[in-house]
Amino acid sequence: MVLQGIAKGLYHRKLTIISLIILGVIMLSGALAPVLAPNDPTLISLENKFLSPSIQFPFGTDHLGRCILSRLMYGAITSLGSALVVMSVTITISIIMGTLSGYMGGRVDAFLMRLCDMILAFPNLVLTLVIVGMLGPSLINVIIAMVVVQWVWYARIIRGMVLSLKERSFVLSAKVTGTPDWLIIVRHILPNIIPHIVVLATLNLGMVILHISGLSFLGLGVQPPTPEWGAMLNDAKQFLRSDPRLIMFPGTMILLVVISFNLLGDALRDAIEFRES
Amino acid sequence: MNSAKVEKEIMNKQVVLNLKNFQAHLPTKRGVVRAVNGINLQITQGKVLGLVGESGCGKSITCLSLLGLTKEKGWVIVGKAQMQGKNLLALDSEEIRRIRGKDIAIIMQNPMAAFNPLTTIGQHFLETIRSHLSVSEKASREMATKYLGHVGLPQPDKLMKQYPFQFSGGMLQRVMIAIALAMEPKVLIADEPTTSLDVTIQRQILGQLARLKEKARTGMLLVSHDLGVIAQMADEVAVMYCGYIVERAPVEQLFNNPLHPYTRALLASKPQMQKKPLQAIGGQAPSLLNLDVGCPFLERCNEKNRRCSHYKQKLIQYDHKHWVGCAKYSAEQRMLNHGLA
Amino acid sequence: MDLLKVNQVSKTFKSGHFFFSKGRVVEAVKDLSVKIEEGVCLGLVGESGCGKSTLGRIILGLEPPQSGQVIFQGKDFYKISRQEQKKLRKDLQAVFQDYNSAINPRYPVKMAIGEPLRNYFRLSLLEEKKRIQELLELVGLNPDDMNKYSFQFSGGQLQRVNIARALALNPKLIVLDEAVSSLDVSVQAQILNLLADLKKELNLSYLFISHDIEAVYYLSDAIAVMYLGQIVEFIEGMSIFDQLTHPYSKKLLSSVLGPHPHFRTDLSAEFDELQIKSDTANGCNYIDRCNIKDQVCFKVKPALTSVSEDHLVACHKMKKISGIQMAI
Repeated sequence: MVLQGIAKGLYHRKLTIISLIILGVIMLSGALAPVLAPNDPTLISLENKFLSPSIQFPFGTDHLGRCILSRLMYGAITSLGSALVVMSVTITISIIMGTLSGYMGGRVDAFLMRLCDMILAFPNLVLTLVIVGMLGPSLINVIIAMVVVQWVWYARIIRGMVLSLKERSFVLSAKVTGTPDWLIIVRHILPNIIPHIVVLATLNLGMVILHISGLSFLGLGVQPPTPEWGAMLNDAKQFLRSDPRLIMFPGTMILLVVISFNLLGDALRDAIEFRES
Repeated sequence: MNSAKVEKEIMNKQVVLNLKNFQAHLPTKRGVVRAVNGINLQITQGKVLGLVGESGCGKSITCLSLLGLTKEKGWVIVGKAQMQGKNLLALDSEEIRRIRGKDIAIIMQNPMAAFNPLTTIGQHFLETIRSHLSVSEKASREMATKYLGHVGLPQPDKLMKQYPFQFSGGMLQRVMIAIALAMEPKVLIADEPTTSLDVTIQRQILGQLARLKEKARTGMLLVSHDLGVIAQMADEVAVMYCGYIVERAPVEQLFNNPLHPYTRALLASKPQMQKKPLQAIGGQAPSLLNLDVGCPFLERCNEKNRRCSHYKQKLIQYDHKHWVGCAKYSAEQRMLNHGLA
Repeated sequence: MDLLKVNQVSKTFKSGHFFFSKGRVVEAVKDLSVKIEEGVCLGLVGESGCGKSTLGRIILGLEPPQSGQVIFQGKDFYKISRQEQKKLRKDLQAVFQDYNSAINPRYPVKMAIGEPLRNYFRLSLLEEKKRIQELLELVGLNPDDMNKYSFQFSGGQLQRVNIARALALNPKLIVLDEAVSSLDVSVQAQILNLLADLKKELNLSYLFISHDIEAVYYLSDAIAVMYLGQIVEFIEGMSIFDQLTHPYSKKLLSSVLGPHPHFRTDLSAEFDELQIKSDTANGCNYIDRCNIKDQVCFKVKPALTSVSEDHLVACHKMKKISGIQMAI
């Protein structure tokens, strides 16, 4: 019933369908890149640099003569995949921490919330940079840093939700009827939180992609020659004037993905709110 | 009653609000919700009209429509609500805004919801005063302090600077009444004003409403499911069931001689310091969605007969001021009874 | 035998504490003792904010008190192991005021009613279904309603579902926390009748928390009047209900509106409402609102003392009051 309702809500929005298709195509082409990609994304051939689109290089080539389309396809996995990893790890940690903190209260709550305060005291980007700086630049470290910075926000929101759910009569009734705490959390609290958090996460996925790309752009994330959209932007920026095509392709991809995720998040939220009213 | 007679009554008794053939329907995917199905009510200056009924019988939607608060929500409103020669139901949003708060005010069940949590009580009060009356800031401030004192709130100066969350429900309800006192509206709609409050506070709030009626000669529509409140306050009572008025009478008459089976059942169901089993009304009200023909109370009624299933709900005059909507009192039935007797 | 004995429990809440300001300490329940016998309904009346719901939650084991004991079936609930607590909980159930949120909207009601069963018994699906249908019938609902969701019920029906869940484990005591307060009069009557019938049929005990004296009178065998965290009057046996003497009890009684336009209440009474007294160390709690106070009331806190059989009052002036009453 739940899924049916959500599916219905999604179906009624054309934009949602379009964004789903876009995301599907991008993910699929990323996954099938080894088969579908016309060229080796890391193969450098200086004699082919700055080529215009042709049959062999559908989107042309970059300053090192690498096929842009192939790089975009392989990059989809790194960019989208790492964002999804960041998000799912973040959500998992924050649900555990937030629920624990909100439900247990007392010292556990105080300790976890002070920890959150500590992390929140630093500007987001600065903290990420510091962590990556300490761990050394690599995609894994970027992911770690982003999780460390992000979980706090979600944990706070989840804690608030748990606090209010905890006082709802159905939770009290469950306690009175002898339901153990873990079952109350699993059966009564999490199902009322997760849909909202999924929406929030979807809305924020776009931001995470931008963040990872941004860090790559700064040279902290993905190391050359691995194809990644942010890194591609970084490479292309020197040729902004002479060959804007280079920056346009990865830029457009990021834009498309971010917009798609935002639309999807909006639609999910509408579907859930519709169901709950 | 023929229309000429109604007009005369309006002239004589100074009817401040005349609701004629009022209907409120909400079309939905699953059918039409027939919340209110053609009711007539007159609110008289300085009198309280009590409106009794269970939740979901269309009381609240009637109140909201009178203030033009149902427009955007897809409700189809039919009928007339005449006040000072204007039809409230036909006014545009700007016109109704000018009337709202000044000539017709509302007090709702949940006073907390009526206040913006971010504005102080004083700001809220002044905003209402100054959007309707052209008075200076200072004068309106004095006015607010004066009326907050009138409703028995201690230290009005201090209260003006406080926020709604620092107040109890009873205090907020008094602030609402203070605003109403200041504006001296022609009509006050009190939608379950004491339902969420303690008995001790209920008594005080009712006392304030009675004062408002005396002092400003405000005509009041008092909506409540609590017959104690109605017995205490009302001059005339209308009993509402499934969007119909099923009985209307002066208060004494209604309590002495309730005619409609629903009214009787309601009166019998209230626990009154007694130990014997309560006379509960069995079953529950039918869904307002796609309401069937016939008497809506049919299934719960213990006085029904065979004509009830195709009785078209309308008010029959039983006595001088006593109207009832039940097949038992229809002309044919009375003739039949007479014949048998 | 006493089914439940509450011994001098106290519970305070801290609110609004901020860095340097100490904040306010609210004594929701203070040094309160009360007991409920088997098969008896104790009505607990008082204004909102007097601590009656907190007391209910302390008894239900949801809110550990700072001091005092809650002895249920001879065991001190907050002293025993979790496993023993769980065993006790089986006999101790509750019905809350907001019938709507008492049932998780995401599951059909059979999940709600089946939850206590699954917590305590290992029933086969068929047995569970049978029991759920039995319970629904017991509270006057259609057994086929078990697959419906909460939004498909009316308020009265939902409260019946809640009662069915509370009955699932054959409890001894049910705490009814304002269980009929937000229902319409006609529906209220149905639920009150149902509760009265169930009590007789299943020999249940109730703690009926309400601000509605009329409903309390109807259902209860004993009444406790609560004011600012303390019981100010206790009556066992409703035959002496008209002897309620504490000025606060009288105030509550006089606030009940007459049932007929003939008996209208005088509404011109002065304003006074529940006030959190700043200094409760000395003197009577009710002093700010009392109209018969005396010098002694400012100095000494009145204790709950017996004025006649089955009748306890906490008021220095009680003898005088009852004297006047007798004179009349």
